[in-house]
Amino acid sequence: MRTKRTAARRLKFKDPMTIYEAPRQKEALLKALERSEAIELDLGGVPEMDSAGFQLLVMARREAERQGHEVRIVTDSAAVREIVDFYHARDLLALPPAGEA
Amino acid sequence: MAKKILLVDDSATILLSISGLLQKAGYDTDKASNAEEALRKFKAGEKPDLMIADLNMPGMNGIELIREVRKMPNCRFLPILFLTTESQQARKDEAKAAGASGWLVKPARSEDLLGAVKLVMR
Amino acid sequence: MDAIQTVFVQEAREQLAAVEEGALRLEQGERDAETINAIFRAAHTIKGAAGSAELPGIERFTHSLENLFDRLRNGEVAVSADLVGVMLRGCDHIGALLDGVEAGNPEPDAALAAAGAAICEAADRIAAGEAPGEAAADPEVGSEPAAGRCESGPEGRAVANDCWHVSVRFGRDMLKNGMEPHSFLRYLEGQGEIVRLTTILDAIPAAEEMDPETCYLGFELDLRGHTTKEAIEDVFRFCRDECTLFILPPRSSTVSYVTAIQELPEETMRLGEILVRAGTLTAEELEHGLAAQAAQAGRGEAAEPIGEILVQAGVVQPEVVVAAAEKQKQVSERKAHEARFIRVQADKLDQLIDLVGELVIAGASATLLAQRSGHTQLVESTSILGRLVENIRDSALQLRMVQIGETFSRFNRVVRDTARELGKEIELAITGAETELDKSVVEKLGDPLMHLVRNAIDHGIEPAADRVARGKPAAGTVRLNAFHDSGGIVIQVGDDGGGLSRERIHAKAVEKGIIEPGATLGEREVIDLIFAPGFSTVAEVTNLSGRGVGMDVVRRNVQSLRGAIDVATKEGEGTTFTIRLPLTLAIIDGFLVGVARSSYVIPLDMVVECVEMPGGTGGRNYINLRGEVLPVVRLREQFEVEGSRPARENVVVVRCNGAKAGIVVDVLQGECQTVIKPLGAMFRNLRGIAGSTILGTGEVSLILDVQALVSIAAADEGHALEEIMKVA
Repeated sequence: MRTKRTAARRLKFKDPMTIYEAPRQKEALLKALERSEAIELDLGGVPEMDSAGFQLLVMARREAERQGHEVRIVTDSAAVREIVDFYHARDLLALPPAGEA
Repeated sequence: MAKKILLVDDSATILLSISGLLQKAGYDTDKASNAEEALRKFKAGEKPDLMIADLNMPGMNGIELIREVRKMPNCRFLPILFLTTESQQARKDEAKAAGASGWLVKPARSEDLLGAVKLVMR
Repeated sequence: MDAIQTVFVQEAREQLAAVEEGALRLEQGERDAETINAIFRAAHTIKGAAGSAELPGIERFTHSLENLFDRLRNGEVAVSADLVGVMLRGCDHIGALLDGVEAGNPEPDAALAAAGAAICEAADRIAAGEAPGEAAADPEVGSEPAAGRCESGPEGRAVANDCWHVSVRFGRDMLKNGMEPHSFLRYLEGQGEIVRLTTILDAIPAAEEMDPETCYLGFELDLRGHTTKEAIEDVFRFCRDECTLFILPPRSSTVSYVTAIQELPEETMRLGEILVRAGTLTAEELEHGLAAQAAQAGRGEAAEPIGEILVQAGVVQPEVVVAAAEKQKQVSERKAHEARFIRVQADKLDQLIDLVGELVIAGASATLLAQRSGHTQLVESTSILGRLVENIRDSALQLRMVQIGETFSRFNRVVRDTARELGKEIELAITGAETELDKSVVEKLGDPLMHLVRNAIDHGIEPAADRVARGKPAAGTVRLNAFHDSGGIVIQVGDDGGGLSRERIHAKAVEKGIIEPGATLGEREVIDLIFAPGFSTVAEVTNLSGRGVGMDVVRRNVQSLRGAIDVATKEGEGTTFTIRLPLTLAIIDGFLVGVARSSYVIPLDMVVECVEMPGGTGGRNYINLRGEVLPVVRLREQFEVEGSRPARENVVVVRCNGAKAGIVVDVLQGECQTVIKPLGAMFRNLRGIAGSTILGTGEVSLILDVQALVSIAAADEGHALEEIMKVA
């Protein structure tokens, strides 16, 4: 029942990913995961990310794994790279290779 | 864009000296001489990057101010430093419980002030 | 003195007054928490502000006092005469230090510093002497063994890692409280280079339970740099109580690593692996540590309290344990009932008053034009405008009005101290404290009042024995009173002492060569001699009332405020000095009168009525007003106005200081509002003129000094009567 094969769904974030937006973004991520098996996250327009935003990415990856789905970060921004790299989590989150725009 | 810091203290001396230090370090400052004035600023939509507030103020005190700010939707998670002295451990705990991010021991020396600001500024 | 210090001095003086007032209330038995809190808060503010103003001397000194007040606040010290004494001496000392700052000597000289040290010592003695809980407050520190803080631990080898190792699990509310772990770690980089870092994400729960605003992060990191444990701990000071933090110095023992690992929330082996993978520990070191610890446990030493193990392992400093154990109960916070103020620079206020003055003039001009135009609607709207301007004027003036109470209450201290010094028992009774007057006037009143109060205590109130002999209560009373009266303010300084002795004043005046030995003077005139220059001299100056200032100086001070002073005394019953002052120096309601082509303004509140000048008075300087003799002064003659008298003249009856007089003018022009502009130096000596103003028409008009005119009229009348009597 739960397998609705769809093409990878692209989810674009343009707002900051901070604690202020985290509850809303958590819902958006989970809803997207419910609807599609593969999600491509476009974070290229994220102007700001804090630890709350970072935790959301970790959560999304784990939740996808649990459901047997996939979350892939296809585009990132300088703000995203800054915190993910500082936290040595590039591999964990499978961020695109550095230098990608 | 320079980060904006809102200072709240009923002492004109403290306001003047702290804002001087912060401005020299490249921050924008805004001042309020009591908690009510600070709240009015928040309600008017002002969104500083950090608030530094005294605990002992006539009228609404700093702890109540912190509680109020933590209820405001647009700045619920604002970094807040409060001003205190070594002799006020109990107040420190109370302010932390109210949601303060950190404190500054008065009188704040330039490096302590800037250190604390850097520490909590996002 | 820089700008901050200038603000500080003013602020500190205000706070000082609060401390002093509190001290006196304590002495009078008001020992409620609010009073004590207010004292503490004031001292606290001074201290904090002194530090910011970079005045370490004042900061240090106030700290001593604050410490004492804090103990007082916590009930660890009782109110005593000594305590109040130290408080007051402390206030005086801070006052002296502030004087120094103002004089450009921010650091006290040796004598002042020594005096300060003595007060601090006394304060510390009181704070310590009566603090029963003090010795018991921190027994943990004393009993904590100093041993075991060596970095490599009592047993076990040191690891090869030459970095500081930091394990931190941030508190759950970290983000909600506006703190960002990322910022903290960035800040940590100020202590050295982060060479290894692993983000511990084990605490993040499944999506469903995950609260997006909660912080689940932890870190294991190695820091290379010359730093200290305290410095690293300091980075985490704001979240120290909520987070789990271990800091291991370079080359710590394997056991201390294992101890830390076990204290952390993750499973021991998992965390051990993380550290091995990160390169913090080698696998061999980890094994060694685990084995050493197991051996220790086998010897039965694992029963040691965890705190002690941590201290011994060098993981936690003893102070941290003590601090954690010493979590203090919250002191319930009392919201002090205080007035709320906005501090405004005085010159801004003056500027506002000036502008309002201009507004009044412009408004008057518009009203005049509107009336001339005969346009009803315009007249109506200018009259509304006029009313509003009037309200603005009143409010603006009100801004500068302060209650005299604050000035009065300062004398509580003066009376207490001087009475004590003289061995007299004196109470100060204050009435009318809420009476308001212009701030600029209040500021200049301090000195004259001080002199009068000291005089009353020193010379007015008799020794207790004399009082009892006279059937009066042993304790004397000095009264300060204020009230509004006909557009001015009246301030009285009275005592219930022996009163002024005419014989003694007369004798002294003769002795000082002020009057001839045989001179016969009326009662009033004798009493008035006390205001004569040279009457009070050094010979009779005690260390209290005399600073070489005599009553003549007091009178001059009062007169410079456009005021007057007089004295009423009754032998055996007391003396009262009455000072009358104008309410404000800025704007008055006036009554406009004309003589020839000039117009003059009489302050409206002094005008009693206007009557037509009765015919047939000739050149006499008095008229018959309904059977009463009313001295008059003719403006035409007084100011030597050219031109001849009109057929009909008018008399404006004015009252001042209880005396009535008439001012004879050509025409009455009605009421007006005027802004007093000070007279130029040229006119300052012109008697009968108080100032000038510009009318709505743009004309300059002179404001009459009614008080001076009344006394001119009275003198002329007396003169005239003498003339009449001589003739008769």
